[in-house]
Amino acid sequence: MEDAIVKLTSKEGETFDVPRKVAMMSKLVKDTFSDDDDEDDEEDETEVKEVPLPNVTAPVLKKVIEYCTHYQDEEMTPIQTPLKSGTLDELVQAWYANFVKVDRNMLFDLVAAANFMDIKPLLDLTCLAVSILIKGKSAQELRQMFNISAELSPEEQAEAQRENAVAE
Amino acid sequence: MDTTGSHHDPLQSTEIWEGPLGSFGESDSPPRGSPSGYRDHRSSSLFASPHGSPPLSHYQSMRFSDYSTPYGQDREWHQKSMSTAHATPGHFHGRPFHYNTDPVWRSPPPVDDLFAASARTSPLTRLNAVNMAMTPSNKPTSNLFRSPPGKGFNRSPLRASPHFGLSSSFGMVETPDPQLADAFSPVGPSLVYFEPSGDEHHPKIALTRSSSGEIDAPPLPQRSLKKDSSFSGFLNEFITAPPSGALHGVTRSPVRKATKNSATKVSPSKSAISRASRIGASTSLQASPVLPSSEVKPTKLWNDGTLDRQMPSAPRNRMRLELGQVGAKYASTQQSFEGINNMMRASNVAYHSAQAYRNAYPPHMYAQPHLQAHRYASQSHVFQNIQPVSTPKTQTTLSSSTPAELPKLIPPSTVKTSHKSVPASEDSATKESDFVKRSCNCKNSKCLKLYCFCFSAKAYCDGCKCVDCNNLPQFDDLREKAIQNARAKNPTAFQQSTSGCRCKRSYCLKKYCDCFVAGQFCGPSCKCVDCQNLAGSQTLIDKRRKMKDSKGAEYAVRVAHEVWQGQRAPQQGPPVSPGNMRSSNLPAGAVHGHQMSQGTMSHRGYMHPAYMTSSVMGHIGYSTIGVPPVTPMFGQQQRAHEMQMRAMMQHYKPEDQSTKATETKSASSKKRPCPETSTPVTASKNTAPRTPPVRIEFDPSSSRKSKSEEEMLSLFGDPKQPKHTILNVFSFLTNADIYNASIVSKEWGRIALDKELWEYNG
Repeated sequence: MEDAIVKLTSKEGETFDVPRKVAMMSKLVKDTFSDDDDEDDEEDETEVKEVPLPNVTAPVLKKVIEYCTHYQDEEMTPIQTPLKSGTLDELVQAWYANFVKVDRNMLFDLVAAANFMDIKPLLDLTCLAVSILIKGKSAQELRQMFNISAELSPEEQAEAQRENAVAE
Repeated sequence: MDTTGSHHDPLQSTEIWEGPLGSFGESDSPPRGSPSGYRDHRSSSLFASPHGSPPLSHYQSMRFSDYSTPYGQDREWHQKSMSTAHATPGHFHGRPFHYNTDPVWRSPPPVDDLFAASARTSPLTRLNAVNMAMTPSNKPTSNLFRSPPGKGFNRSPLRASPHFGLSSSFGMVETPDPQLADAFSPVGPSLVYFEPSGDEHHPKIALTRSSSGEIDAPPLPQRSLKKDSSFSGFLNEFITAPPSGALHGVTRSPVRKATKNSATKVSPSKSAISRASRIGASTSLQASPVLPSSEVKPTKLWNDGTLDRQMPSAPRNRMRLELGQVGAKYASTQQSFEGINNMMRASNVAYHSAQAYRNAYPPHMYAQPHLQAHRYASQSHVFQNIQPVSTPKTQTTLSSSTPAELPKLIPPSTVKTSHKSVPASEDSATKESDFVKRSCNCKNSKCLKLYCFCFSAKAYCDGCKCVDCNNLPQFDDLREKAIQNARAKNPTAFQQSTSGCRCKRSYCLKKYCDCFVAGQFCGPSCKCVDCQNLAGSQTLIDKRRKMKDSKGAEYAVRVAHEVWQGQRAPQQGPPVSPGNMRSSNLPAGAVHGHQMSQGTMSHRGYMHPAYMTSSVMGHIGYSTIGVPPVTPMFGQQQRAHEMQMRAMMQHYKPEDQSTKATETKSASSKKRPCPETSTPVTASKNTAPRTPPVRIEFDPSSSRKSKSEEEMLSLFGDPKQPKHTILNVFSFLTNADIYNASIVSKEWGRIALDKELWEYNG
């Protein structure tokens, strides 16, 4: 059982052999297995199973597996909120901080993948990374950052302000 | 007070009145300053000099009677308009007079010819002439003196200021043109009227106020003060004192010198005094009777007891002095002068504190919170509200009392002068005295302890309400001993500033607080504890709102915004020292942190993004809207935060408890606490119609929906993210960051204010 291998297939069809324990970090994989287990748990537990992940591209999947593998060695400390600091390095271990030091596209792919595969620590980490991106930025900077052209119309802006202002 | 005022300009001479030395109200002395009287100008270039602003001397030479003579001719018309106005309350009675005259001395563009032509025509014609003259392109503008439909000209062509609309008892009219702004006060000269039987050359001025706060036709129009009454005399003197930049002394006006020769001696006629007191007490009428022979016209007595003076050629110099219940209080001339002097002494200091109000609109409004309270709460007599500090006396007492029994002056602390601008001379003048001489109320200390304001300011008691006072020149030996004693105990005893409040428990949010009641923020010289009366203090805003002091609240909000935006340096509050710091968790110097945590603990709690402020402001950058992002101040606010967390635990309600009860329960133990939680709403639940949203914990597991119903959003660009991941991201943000996010776009705003992050109660 320990040496059981799970095959994770990326969007492109590339297959990654992942130890079962590592793969089980994903709730998606886990659910697939438990479903399977219900049906035929005695037949072939050691059988290599394949889990298709049509939403995850190969590079992202590789990253995810990297994360999950490292997680076995060094469990990520749960993120403490309220955030004590504005930098990743002070919030999580160095490896994890480096792990999310990727370009934005990759980061958001990771968020999506973590969400899809339902890996909570990874999702938290990536969300944290994104929020660090947002943190301390003005609305204008955020618009530039995310290429949002649609500014609020004055009325909408006023409305947003009013919404906020209600909470005096 | 010294006489260091600049003597190079007779207008600037600063001397304190010593009392009734000459006779006043002699209005028949010839006009001074100008070779030819104003009247002589009238036929030629009456209303303005060709170059716009006539020289000052021109104005000075104008006699009030001259000023008004044209209308004396039109008295019939004037009477008519008065009665019309009377019939339509809400209009400004006497408006036409005001409109016609003000532009005159306000130096409109050259209109000599027009006026010369129309000097003897009807006021309407003249009005039109002014309109023409003031519209260079002949296009109608908002500055036009429009004659209102139907009735003469009783409507302001100018936009009335908001408060004007509210009660119209006083206030300035806003005009696009600052030059004009000063000219058109809705209540100033509008209150000037003529006594039908009066002497054309000595029009009587009377100000009045109806019980509803509206300006009314004077109920006592025919009872103008006699010109030789002491009251009128002192007012005359006062009025004629030019508003030099340094109004800390009162000019010894030329009038007095002129009238010294006259045979009349001032003898405060009893009838005049009693009338004055009656007027003041029963109808709140402030009277400024006949203006003497020369000097500046543009003086207005505001019906709230405010004396407004305007210099035609120096509009920026406009200042305003509240005289309070002049009529009733300054019954004896001696007292009057003393009172004026006292106020003058205080005024330039009050100006110092009034600097905080430089930007305030309208300064005089805000500076009179008690008036505010009156105006919004009760419509009773102005005067009873004008003087919150002074001894209240019943009206009957006032009207029947002899001068000696009349209440003493207003303590100088209730007097405020607001300056529109600060010319250099003004600055230098105000430096001369840096303390507010406050009157004390000592009962047992014989004014020889440091409790006594006067004593601790190293001043003799003068006009105080103290009992058994020994702080007087004749007790100098005792006093000297007391001073030595005090010094022995505390070497720095007399070095402390005595201005400012010393509130211990009121947070400076009650009327006990001198600063608060004066509509001022507490300053570095205050010795208050746990002060909340600071720029940017949310509790201050709340308090003002609660008091229905909308102007004050508005002002406080505005200042707070400026502070948040960094436009205004954070107000330096009272020094935070271990001595006056009650809450030990407040670090010295962290005024803002101080405030915030105070506010937090008192009732409102962490502010929603819109009200975030920060002690680390200027650190990261500002949002476009002006709320700087905030890094939570954990060190400083640990305790406050803990309290919130506790409160939050009690008030936390998971969103979908019903559907995912079990899951929530299991998750709640390791649930991520949200960055900033708001308070217990219960505190505000009873008061606020709609309670503010409360930041709640985001529960990622419960937020996750099945794939089909998950809303996909492209907030972060192309790969669409499910809503709950975005919420997850936002859940890490502080309120300030969420605020910034909420104004990025509509979509962002929707998510940032999602009900999974905020609990909306209203």
